Parts: sequence; structure tokens; C-alpha cells
Amino acid sequence: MIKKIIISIFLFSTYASSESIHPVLETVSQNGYIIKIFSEVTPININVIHNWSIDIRDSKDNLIDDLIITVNGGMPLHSHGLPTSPKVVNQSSTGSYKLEGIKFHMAGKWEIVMELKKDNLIDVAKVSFNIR
Amino acid sequence: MKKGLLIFLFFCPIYLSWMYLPSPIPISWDEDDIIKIKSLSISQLKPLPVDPSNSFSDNEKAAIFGHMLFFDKRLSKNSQISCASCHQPSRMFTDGKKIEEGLGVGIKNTPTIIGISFSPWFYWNGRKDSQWSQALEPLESNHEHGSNRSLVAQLIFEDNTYSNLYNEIFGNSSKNTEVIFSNIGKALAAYQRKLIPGESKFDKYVNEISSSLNNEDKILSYNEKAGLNLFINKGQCINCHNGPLFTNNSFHNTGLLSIPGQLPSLGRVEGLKLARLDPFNCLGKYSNAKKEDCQELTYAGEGDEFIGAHKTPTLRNISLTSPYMHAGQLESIALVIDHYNIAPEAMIGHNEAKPLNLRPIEKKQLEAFLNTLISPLVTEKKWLLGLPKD
Ligand code: HEC
Ligand code: HEC
Repeated sequence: MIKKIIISIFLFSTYASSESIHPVLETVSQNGYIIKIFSEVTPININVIHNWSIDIRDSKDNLIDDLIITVNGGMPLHSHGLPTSPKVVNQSSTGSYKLEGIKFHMAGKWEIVMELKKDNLIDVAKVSFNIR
Repeated sequence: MKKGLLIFLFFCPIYLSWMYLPSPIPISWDEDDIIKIKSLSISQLKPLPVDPSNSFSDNEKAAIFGHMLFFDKRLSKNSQISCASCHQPSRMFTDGKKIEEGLGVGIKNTPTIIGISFSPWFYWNGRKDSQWSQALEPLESNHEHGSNRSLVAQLIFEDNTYSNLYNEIFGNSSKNTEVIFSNIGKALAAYQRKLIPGESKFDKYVNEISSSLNNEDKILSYNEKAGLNLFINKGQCINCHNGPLFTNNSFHNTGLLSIPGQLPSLGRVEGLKLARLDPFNCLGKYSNAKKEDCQELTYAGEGDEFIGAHKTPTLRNISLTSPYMHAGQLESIALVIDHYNIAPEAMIGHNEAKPLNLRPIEKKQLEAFLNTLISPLVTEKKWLLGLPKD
């Protein structure tokens, strides 16, 4: 509960729609990391399982590549979660992360909530976007 | 007193016509509506994706073999049941029964299998992750074919046509019963992949509104269009029944009662557990897939949301496939619509759908729309008939 409140107080959310060719969603985490997250396929089709990329930098533009990230999400207006359990893997070679196995099974407003963990410190970030 | 009566007499007809008569306002679509309507059109159906777990999924000989097997009653313990006994071509591959009946009475309603090859999950609870592994279960299930893998393998090699076809398609390298059994599933899947729905009255309507700019059209009646409007907006049916097959192939709890004498069906929570344990799943040794092809199984969703959740069925041909729901609980489309209108508390888990407050006329209109979804198969006739020797 408390975590939920923190998330809603601290987070910025960005809107993008699947019509744009490369909808890169940008957000700032609670602790100030700049996060870019985007689907590896565009446009995003409903009901198709696919992967996203996540790029995380600090305010000085240094890549942050040693976080353990867990992802959650869903449709706030329908009060349900994601239809899959996506996982994030570190790709130390490129400094970015890969979010594998995400799917959206309805059109409408979706959220992806990322929990970023490092040495027992937990940071959170959220993006919202529309799927048609 | 008299005044009260006059007021009553004045408002009563207004109330009754509001409830029971179509509104006189013409229906016009905004940009958002048009996007939703087009997304449901059969013209949006993509080519069937290959099934990486089945190297024979698009092999024509395998489809011919699968066709024979689908209609062959010798694949059952008493030589009286074939897949087609329950998935009858004349009933859009259903059986018209509340609950299936093979060698015995089962516990679930027989769904249509038209277009099912587009789904990553099979069965109401999604306990199978490929069409070929699905096909193995009825052969061995006591209330369906009641046979077993050794008997089925034996039959294949005792019948000349079958053994020749089998060897031509799969080679005769392995005599392992499980390998032969899974190849039989792969042939049955190759055949069923031919069963694809075609254009309905609704699709013709979409073609017409797409080609004429003034939205002028004659294909759907006023009530059918009003029903389409309810389907994509107030009724929110499109949330789950989306895309050209009117299904997201995902799992939802819609608050259905279990049938008397049965425990409520646990749905997807149980289905996923079974799929993970299945030796014939995507990650198993009988699958032709690489690990990274098995994303659906690897990343399947979990949690309380999936308690009592069942797979969204297609709504194409819905007026020809009663009764409805996973245990045939609801006998008519009207009853299904009443059910969504009330959206009762679920027995287990919780109902994702919310009450709709549809007026009687709106319920009729929604039903009228669902009746426009009769979608004759595009499949060549020869695939829909049994074989001469049956
Ligand atoms: C006795 C009737 C019966 C027979 C025989 C039968 N089925 Fe079914 N079929 C059903 C029922 C009932 C279900 C749903 C069961 C469930 O979900 O638990 C089903 C489900 C399916 C599904 C999954 C549909 C979906 O929506 O996921 C496919 C595909 C299928 N059957 C194909 C076959 C094939 C192939 C055969 C022959 C090898 C066969 N069936 C034999 C009754 C039957
Ligand atoms: C939350 C997702 C969801 C929504 C919203 C939804 N459905 Fe369904 N629908 C399902 C699922 C899941 C089933 C199967 C339920 C079961 O058997 O447990 C189903 C079953 C049906 C069936 C029976 C199909 C069959 O072959 O047995 C019909 C008809 C139907 N829905 C129509 C509608 C209409 C009309 C609406 C809008 C008023 C609607 N649905 C809204 C998910 C949904």
C-alpha cells in the first residue's frame, strides 16, 4: 500500500501512442535516474508476446547497468495486471536491459512499473501509454 | 389525484419507448469507433504464424493424414468416437450439447476449433500450449476416445495407407511410442490449421464503410449497428473479444456459476500448472521448438487474477454454436447478455466484468449484432467432409 502511494506521488508518466514509429517512453525514477523504454517491435500489436529495451542513465548521462529490475503493470482503469510475467535481463555488453515476454491483451491505457534494485536500495519508475 | 394520473399517462409511454424501442437518432461513427470497428474485420487477420514446436504444421501431406485421423472412429476404444463426433463440421465444429459426451460424459462444453490455431493456448483453462499436444489428450481421455498411445501407434502401422503416409511424412527412424504419438498430434494439428473463418455480414459492412466516405451503407440494419456500437463502447465487449477473431486468447473470470453438482472450475491457475508439467509442452523433448520460441510458456502470467479465469472464446459463428460458456451454463445469446448485464459476484476469484445497465432494447440490439457474425469457412470443401470409408 505504502509503496503504491510512493509510486503515485513520485512518478512522472509520459504518454505516447503506438501510432508513432518509435514510441520511446521516457520517465524519471524516484531516485532521479533517466529511463528510456521502448518496444522492440512497432507498432505494438495487441495479443502478441514481444520484448522491450530499457536504457537507464544518471543525471550525468552515465549508463547504469548493474540494477536488478522487476516489472509489473496493468490497466489501472480495468484494475487488472499484465497477462504475462515479463522478466528483465541485463545485457552488460550494450549497457541496456531487455524486457522479455510482455503482452497487452486489450486496447486502452496501460502502465509498466519498474522496480530497480541495487544493494538493497529500491527505486521505482513508471510509464503509461496507450495501445490501440 | 387527476394530475398524478395525467403525469403518469404522459411519462409512461416515454419510459416504455426508451426501454423497448430503438432510438430515432441515426448512428454515426467517430474516428475512434472506426478504428475499433476495422480492428474486428476479418481482413485484419494475419497469415497463420508457423508453430515452431511442430515442424510439420504446414506440411500438406501431414494435413491430409490429419484429416483422415480427425474423422477416423478407430482411434477410440469402442470404434465409435472420432474428433468429428464432437467437433462436427455441420455445427461449426461443436456438438450442440451443454457438456461433451464421448465414451462418457465429461465436464466441459465443446468449443469450436475454427480459427483456434491462432491461439497460443488450448482448452478453456489453457492446459495445452500447442495444437499438436492438445490433440493427444482426447485420444487417451476416458470420457472421449478412451484409447491410448500404444493402441493408436499400433493402428497406424497396421493400416497400409496410414503407415505409408506416416513414413513418407515423418520417416521411420523412431519406433518410440511417444514420438509416434506426438507425430500423430502434429498431423492432427496440421489438418486443423486449415479451419479458418471467412467473411461475415459484419465484415462486408466494414468493407463498405471503409470504401465509401459518407458512411452510407445498407448492409447492417439499424439495430445491428446499434448493437455494434454497444459492443465497442458501452458494453465493453471489445476489451476481451478483440481482433478479427473476436478473442484476445487470454484468460478472464466472468463470474459464471458452476453447473449443479460440480465444483467451480479453477480455470487458468490449474491450466498453467498442468501445461508446465506436460511432457508434450513447448519445452519438452517431443517439441521441435528452441527454448526461445517458447515465450508464451516461459512468461505465462500468474497470480490470483487467474483463479476461475477461462479462455475468451471467438464470437465468430456464435449464433450457430449454442450452448455457451465453459460448462454450457448459458443456453442462449440472450442469457449470455443478461449475465454480462448483471455481472454477478464470482464463486471463486473475482468477476472482471462490471454491470452494464443495458435497457431491454439494447440487449436485443447487442444480440442482433452478434447474429451478424456467421462466418462461413474459407477452407476448401474437401477438408470439411469425412472420408468415404467412414
Ligand atoms: C467427446 C467429445 C470430444 C472429442 C471426441 C474431442 N473433443 Fe476436442 N474438445 C472437446 C471439449 C469438451 C473441449 C474443451 C475441453 C476443456 O477445455 O477442458 C475440446 C477442446 C478442443 C480443442 C481446444 C479448443 C480451444 O478453444 O482451446 C481442440 C483444438 C480440440 N478439442 C481438438 C480435438 C481433436 C483434434 C480431437 C480428436 C483427437 C478432439 N478434439 C476430440 C470435446 C471433444
Ligand atoms: C473480461 C473479458 C470479457 C468481456 C469484457 C466480455 N467477455 Fe464474453 N467471454 C469472456 C470469457 C473469458 C468467456 C468464456 C467464459 C467462461 O466460459 O468461463 C466469454 C464468453 C462469451 C460468450 C460465449 C462464447 C461461447 O462460445 O461459449 C459470448 C456470447 C460472449 N462472451 C459475449 C460477450 C459480450 C456480448 C460481451 C459484452 C457485453 C462480452 N462477451 C464481454 C471474456 C469477456
